[in-house]
Amino acid sequence: MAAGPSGEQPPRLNPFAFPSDTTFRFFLLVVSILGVSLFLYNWLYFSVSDNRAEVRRTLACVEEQQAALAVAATTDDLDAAGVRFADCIDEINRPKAAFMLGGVAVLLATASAFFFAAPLVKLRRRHLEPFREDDAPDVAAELRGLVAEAGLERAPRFVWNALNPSPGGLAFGRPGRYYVALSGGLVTTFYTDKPAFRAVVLHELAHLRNRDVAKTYFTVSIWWAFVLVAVLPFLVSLADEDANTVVDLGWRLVALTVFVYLTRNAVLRAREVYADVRASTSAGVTPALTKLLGAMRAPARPWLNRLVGLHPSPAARLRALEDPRGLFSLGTFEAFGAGIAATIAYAEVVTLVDFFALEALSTMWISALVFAPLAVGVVGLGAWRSAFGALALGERPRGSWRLGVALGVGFLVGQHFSLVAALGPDPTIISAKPWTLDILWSVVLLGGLGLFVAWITTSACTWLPVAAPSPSPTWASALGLVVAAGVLTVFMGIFFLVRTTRDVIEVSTSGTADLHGFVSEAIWAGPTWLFQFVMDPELLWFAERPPVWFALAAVWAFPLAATFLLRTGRPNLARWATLDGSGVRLPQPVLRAGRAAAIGLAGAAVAYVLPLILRAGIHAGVAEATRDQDAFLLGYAYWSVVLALACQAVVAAVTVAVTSDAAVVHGLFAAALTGLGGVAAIVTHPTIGSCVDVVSLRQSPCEWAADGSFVKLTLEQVLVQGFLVALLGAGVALAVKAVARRRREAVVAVGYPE
Amino acid sequence: MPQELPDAVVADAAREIVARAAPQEMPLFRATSEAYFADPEKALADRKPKDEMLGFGIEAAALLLTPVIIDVTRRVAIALARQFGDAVEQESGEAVGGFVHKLFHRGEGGDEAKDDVPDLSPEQLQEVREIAYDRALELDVPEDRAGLLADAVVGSLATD
Repeated sequence: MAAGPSGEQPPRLNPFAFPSDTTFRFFLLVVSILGVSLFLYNWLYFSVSDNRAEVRRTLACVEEQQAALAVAATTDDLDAAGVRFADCIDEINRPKAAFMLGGVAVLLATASAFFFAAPLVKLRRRHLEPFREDDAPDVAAELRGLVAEAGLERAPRFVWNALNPSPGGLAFGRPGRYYVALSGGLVTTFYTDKPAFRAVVLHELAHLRNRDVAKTYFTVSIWWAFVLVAVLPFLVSLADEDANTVVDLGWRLVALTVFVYLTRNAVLRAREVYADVRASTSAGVTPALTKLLGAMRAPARPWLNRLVGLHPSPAARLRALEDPRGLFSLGTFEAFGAGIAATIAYAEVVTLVDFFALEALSTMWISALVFAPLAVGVVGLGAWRSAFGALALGERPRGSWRLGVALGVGFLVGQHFSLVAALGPDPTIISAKPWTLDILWSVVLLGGLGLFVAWITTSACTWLPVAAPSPSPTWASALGLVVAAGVLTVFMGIFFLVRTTRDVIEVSTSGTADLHGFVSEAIWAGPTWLFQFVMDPELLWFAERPPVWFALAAVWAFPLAATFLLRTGRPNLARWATLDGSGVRLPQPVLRAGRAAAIGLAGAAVAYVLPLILRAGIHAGVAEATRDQDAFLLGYAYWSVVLALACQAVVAAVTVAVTSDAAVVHGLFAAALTGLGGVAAIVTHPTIGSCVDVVSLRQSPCEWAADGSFVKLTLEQVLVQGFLVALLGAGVALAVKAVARRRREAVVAVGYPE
Repeated sequence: MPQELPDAVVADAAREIVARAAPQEMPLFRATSEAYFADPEKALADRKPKDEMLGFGIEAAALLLTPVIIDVTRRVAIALARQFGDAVEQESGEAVGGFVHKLFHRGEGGDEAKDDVPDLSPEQLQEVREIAYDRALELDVPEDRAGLLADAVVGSLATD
């Protein structure tokens, strides 16, 4: 780390303040292996089952449903036919699902067997014997001291091979029975270079303290179990397949296997750096580690080591030791890998969940639940750590959206790796036909994920100062990641469902276009695209879902909730922020929730009053015969919603313009309040109109005109669509602010040359 | 002619040489010699550094001389016992061990003890040095260290 202005070294930031991202990467690896295995077992079932009988049974289900539909007289009959068909298909699929899950169970059992046997094998193959007190009493005493120094509650069993000259050590074992292996070479070092001995042993003990040993060995175990009980039987089953199938499946399997292997090694490399940094917190270890690492040979092919090496290069370890800030920023390559791994798992889990014939959106959400928390665990945690790294140095975190884009690119590429893509219709977003709508889908995905990660960073910036006086920021980051995982689950589920059922969009847009034509006969209905957006039935179908409301509200509510905990004068020294406990002051964000609420409520008033003025104008200027038409009333209802949405967009933009920190979040909050005013207008104005002639559109008795379901539907529509347009308004305001700031900076630069 | 010698005799002789050639390994001599005598071939094979894929990452092995010294001492002792075959051929294994012990501990026990063992001629000492040096090289000890080790062996046998 560079020395400060006074020449003194600034304290090293503490990478252990947050949950380790390697933990999530281990889990993600395991999940992607399980995901691929699901496909392989699905394929194996296909190979061993009586496919003709299955086809016959499926056809029988279809025939039965067609017969039921032919005689259906009511919607209840149609529903009953649908349920019977689902049950019929379910009966066919259930053995398949059981086979796939059984295969995964065998895989896990094999991995567990490897995992529990591994320490015994290692003890035997390495000729490791228990390190006895009388082997070297002074070394035994030192080891006891090092265990205490490492902060371990329970001492591992020290074993050794007196004849192994290597001066290294090794931590291995399983929960409840961990070992640290020493060598004759290392124990001799105790007498020749005690600091080096301490450094190596503390490094191994740091693996135990970092709790990465069991995860490491389980990852290695599941890898070999995967090869043995999933890949090998699959390869055997390909023997009687035609060349095209073998090639289609083969290259994907090879690519997946290589990907899993490379990711595994990347994670194993990362854990070494964390162990170095943990060990360096003990007195006098840093110089010894620096000496040891400095004496180590650099890899002959650094680029190859970065890909397949199990240990990071000594230079990389030295850099992290000197300044652990590098551990706070997740690389775009890691985010890309997380995207690939998550997509692999997602595609295969969708196949499995689909067998249980759930509703389409539930299937997508359940599947997204498998991968979204893990993707957030990697990328979201990376965003939190980057935000902390920047705040601790008094900087503003920048460019975290790149992680989201990299995650999205991983999604897109991962789809092509997916074995499901080899069979049946192409489910990938980027197909072989570029410059089609696929580009638009991709932009939506990449842009959405970029915004999502930027939002996580904003949340981190508002919550980290809240956690400053706490013993650890873990609770804040865990809370943030849980919320983020929920948001990503909802949005990814919707995205993939919309993408999968994109043919429906064509039907719904043509239907709304027809409706636009119908309304246009009575009233100006504006551009077709706007009408299609506001009246889109698929969007309204999603808006009805409670998880969607919660996800949208969480986007502004979570970061702004920090307002209630951040008070002037609250201590902002985060002692957990540095390895030596001296701490760092985290700057408090300038949150203006009250101001945003005021702007939002003012907007709500406008959104409530404007339609009344419009009603009065229509009452005065439009003939009653015209106002009485259904098309006219439908058109007015449409414009009421547009007015509410427009108010939300404007309010979001205004709020962003007058807010510095977390501006978009403030804007969305204000827009949500304004939306409530718009909803109140849509719900109450018909009643007011029925009682007050000057604002009436159609003659009707003076009574309450809105039932509960109408209120609910209006609320859902205005708040969900309002969120989208508010996001747009906030984005435009943000862009204008950025341009204005650059111009100001340019003027200052020209005016005051150095 | 003896093919083997009691482990304790070899260990006893080797301890002196380790103390001279690799004093830093003395605290571990007992444990290392026990491991060696349990299975000498495996012990020498185990000297090759293990590629621990999940270990600290140090590839370069330190030179652990104790097993080498014990092995070299054993060979030298057997060769010497053969050379002095006439003097010891009628003796039991235990007595051969005692003879070898005296050879390597010539300075201990006063003049009387010195008289019990014959002096080694310069040619014999040179032969011992060659045996020790060649074996050390066979066991991948670098030339300079092998030379020092061989000198230490000769030094433990020399009269003055």
